[in-house]
Amino acid sequence: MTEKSEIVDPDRELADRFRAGERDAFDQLVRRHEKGVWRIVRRYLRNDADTADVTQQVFVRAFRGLVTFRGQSSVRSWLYRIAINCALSWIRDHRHETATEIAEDALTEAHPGLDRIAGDQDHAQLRAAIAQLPPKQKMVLELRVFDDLSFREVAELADCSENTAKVNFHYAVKRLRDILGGKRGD
Amino acid sequence: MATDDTDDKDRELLGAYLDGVAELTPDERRRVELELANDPALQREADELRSLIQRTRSAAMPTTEPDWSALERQIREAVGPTVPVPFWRRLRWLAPAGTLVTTAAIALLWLHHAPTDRAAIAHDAGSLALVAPAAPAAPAPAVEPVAAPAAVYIDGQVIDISNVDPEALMDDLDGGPDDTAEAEPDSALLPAADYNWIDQLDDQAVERAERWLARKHGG
Repeated sequence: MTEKSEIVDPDRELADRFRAGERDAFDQLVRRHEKGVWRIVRRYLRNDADTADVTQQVFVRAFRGLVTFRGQSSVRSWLYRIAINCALSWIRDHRHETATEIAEDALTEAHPGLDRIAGDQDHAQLRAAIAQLPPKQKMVLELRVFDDLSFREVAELADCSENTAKVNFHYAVKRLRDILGGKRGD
Repeated sequence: MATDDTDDKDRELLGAYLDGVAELTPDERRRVELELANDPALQREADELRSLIQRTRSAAMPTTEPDWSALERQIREAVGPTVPVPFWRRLRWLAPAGTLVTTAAIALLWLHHAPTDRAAIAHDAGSLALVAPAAPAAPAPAVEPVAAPAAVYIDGQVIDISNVDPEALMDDLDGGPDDTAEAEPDSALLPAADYNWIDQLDDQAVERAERWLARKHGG
């Protein structure tokens, strides 16, 4: 814990340089995190074009907000939180437009054979099972497994304690196993 | 019962233990390992969950990746070339200006509320201050103007001067009339204004003077 905090965080350095007026530092932050932000937004929107728009919006917000970023969380989890907020906001604003698309997604998730992106049956089944998890468990599992966040960062994004994030993760994996194996829940 | 609760809590950390053992505290880690060592069923469950976590990790939703350099360019254009400045830094000039305005306001308030007919007259000369009795508060129908100071503070003591001739008092305060003027030459003393005459004394005169002084002090 102590050792981790003593390690120089390159994101924090870039944020400090940006606040000191170095514009290029922000470009480096973009390059470091654009893929992660894209992945998160993409999970919410399931549409590449919209995802690109929202990803751009995330970084525009980050650009404006970074000067006031107080460093209470990691830059990465701060960015991912903006990404989740922007994605949810986009969904709210485009509720009617996305209704069909979401329905289509639900269909493909529920029937892996119709999965239009992945050919892999196993992966499709897994994603369908993840889609059935309770929202909190789903979020914790995805942030942990797909975005490789630490439990601390997951907790920051899920608005819970680190211990709660760990427990949620445990139950998410168990429920996933039960869904996939048809096993009775605990 | 308490032990069962503790066991359940330890088991709830199994997923985190399997996926990120380094993120558990040493105590959490020890407790989970103890549970695993004592429960073969839990060991089997751990194996299943570990395998499932690995499978899930590889099942991330495939997406057609965008043109990252195009995205970066769009972001650069959208945010512009200038690092934004927080609003409080743009308003930094407010601090000195605010201080100035506050000081001016306090000064104005003090001047406005200070009694215009106050009887106290501060005197900057050392410890001297002339004080008159306070005049009645306005609106007073007919207020006799305060003719002259009625008391004098000297070194913290109040001296009533209502029946004293002010000029005589000032003379007393000043230590008598004009003590700065050159003293009248005393017949018993040699002139003190010009000491050139000392250089003109010869040895005999000096000897006489010394004898006179010796007599004077000896007597």
